[in-house]
Amino acid sequence: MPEIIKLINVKKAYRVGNIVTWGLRGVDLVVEEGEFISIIGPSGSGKTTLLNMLGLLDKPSSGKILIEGIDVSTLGDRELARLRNRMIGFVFQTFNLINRLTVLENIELPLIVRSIPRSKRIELVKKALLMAGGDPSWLKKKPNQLSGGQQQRVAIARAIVGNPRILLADEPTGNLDRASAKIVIQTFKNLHSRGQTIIVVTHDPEVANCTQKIYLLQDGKIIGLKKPDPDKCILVTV
Amino acid sequence: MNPIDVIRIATKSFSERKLRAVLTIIGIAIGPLALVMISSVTQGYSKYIVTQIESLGQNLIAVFPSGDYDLTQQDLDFMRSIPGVARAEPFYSTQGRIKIGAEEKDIYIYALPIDFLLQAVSNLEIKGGSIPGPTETVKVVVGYNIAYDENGNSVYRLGDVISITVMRIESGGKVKFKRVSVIISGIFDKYGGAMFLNPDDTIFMNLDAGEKLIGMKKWSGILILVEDSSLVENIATYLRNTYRNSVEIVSFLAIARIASSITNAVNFMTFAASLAAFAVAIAGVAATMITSVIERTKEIGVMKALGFTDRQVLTLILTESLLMSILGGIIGISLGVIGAYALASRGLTISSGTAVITINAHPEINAVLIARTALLTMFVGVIGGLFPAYRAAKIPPAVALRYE
Repeated sequence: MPEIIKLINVKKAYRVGNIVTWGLRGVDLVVEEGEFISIIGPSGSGKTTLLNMLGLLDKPSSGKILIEGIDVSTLGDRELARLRNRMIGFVFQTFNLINRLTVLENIELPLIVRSIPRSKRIELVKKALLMAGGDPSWLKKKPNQLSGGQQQRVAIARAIVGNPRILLADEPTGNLDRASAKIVIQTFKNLHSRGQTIIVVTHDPEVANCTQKIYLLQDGKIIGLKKPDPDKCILVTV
Repeated sequence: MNPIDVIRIATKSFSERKLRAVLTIIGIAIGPLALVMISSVTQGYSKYIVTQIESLGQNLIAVFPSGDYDLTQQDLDFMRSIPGVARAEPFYSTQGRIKIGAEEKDIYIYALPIDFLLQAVSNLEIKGGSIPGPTETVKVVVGYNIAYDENGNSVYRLGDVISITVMRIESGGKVKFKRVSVIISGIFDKYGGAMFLNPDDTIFMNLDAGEKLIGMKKWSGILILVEDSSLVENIATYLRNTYRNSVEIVSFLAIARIASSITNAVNFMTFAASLAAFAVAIAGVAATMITSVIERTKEIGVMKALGFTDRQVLTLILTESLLMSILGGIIGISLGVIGAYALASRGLTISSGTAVITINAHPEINAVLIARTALLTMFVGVIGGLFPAYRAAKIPPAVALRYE
């Protein structure tokens, strides 16, 4: 399968006064189209920093990030925003839904950026919500009227509504109970079976074991690649 | 981004924080309220005053003796001979007092050819009766406020006799009172307050009556009616050069121009004062929006993660502040219009000694004032929202997403 993301010796330093802290110390990573991978590591290992790099939310201090062969360091803020909108879908641990907007209005946000007509947007929103395991009856509700698991499915619908090539999930089950976490991972499995590239950052081995590859991150470096144990996937464990 | 979506999202943003938005909108509304209310009322009075002065006769010049100089028939003949002068007539003026029921009322008395007055002062019309013939010395035409009380009830009718107490200051400063009785032959229609002549509170009689009834010997002045208003300035200058300090020349056109320039200055000052309210509103909008942007930092990060560009975020925040200012403008202008009519209904009372004139003028509300106020209010929204919007647009998405 063709490479969709390639990271070459990506480093990220944070400077506070004279103190430099390294978020990433030289990460090399290749993700092929259609892969479902996880990045696992302890707190402070640089998981979220790496996800921000993959999602074009932050720029590396050095190294290269290639998306479909394009070096994103050559792109301006506007092109990066366009790439995020067209290529990448985000799922956050805390859902990050906007509570004053309805579920419909939350999910359609990436489509508003593209100036897609409202009638077409509603159609796409309904389709995305069903794919994310949601219920169309939620559309007029506010996110805070839904349970955590339901909110995360709305967040997944928002992430996939624009048909992105890559789905990035940052601790997607971190704020959910076990039953809800299972539904979310099952949704990812379903999306993956349709060819969606998914990268999940997690500290939960039961989530990582549901993916195809597990990258181990420690102190800002990928220290190994582990084969998942499907028997220890959250979907099969009791 | 579709403008309708921008407005929808922006409206939802400020409707979430209703109380803060309402307070900000009230703060914004004060500027347009003050501007529309004060400007329209002062412009209404200004226009009224200038119109009144102009209606006293744009073609009229009044010549008053100065110092010991007395105007004579020779002066009158000279003025009548000046090219461009249509008519020149002498007049006597004094003050008196009449009884209306149990109360006494101060009035003005003018003795002059009344047909000349009607020719010179536009809008002055006879409501009832007729002007006395040239030889009728005891007949007078009275102003509306003499014939009718404040409620419009008739006090004096045509043919009634009015007893006037005329006060005269004789040589040596001795004050002498004289009582004269006159018959009403005509009543003027309501004219309204005027700055130099107040027809509503005046009794007009023939020039002869001034001499024979009241006993005035020296002309109070000469009124000159010029053929065309374009000649007024030249004739006034010619008279000034001829008489130097012996007379005072009053051209109503020049007074109207001065009044107009004064009222323009007043209008500018009220406009400048209103700007202070707009400046406060800018600070209010900026404070509200900066707080809102700080509270929504994480949300802005999410929007950027979803693909919103810096410019789109800036547009959303600016639209939010613009919508608040438009709402504030609508409320402020509406209340300003209501307030202007309420303020104008009280009237403007000008008091000068015994003379009290109340001007009742409609506020001058026009498209220019409304458009100028609306633009200024929208400017408040844009300027107040600019910095918060720029700040929101420039937050790096990764930083915004980390914000708690």
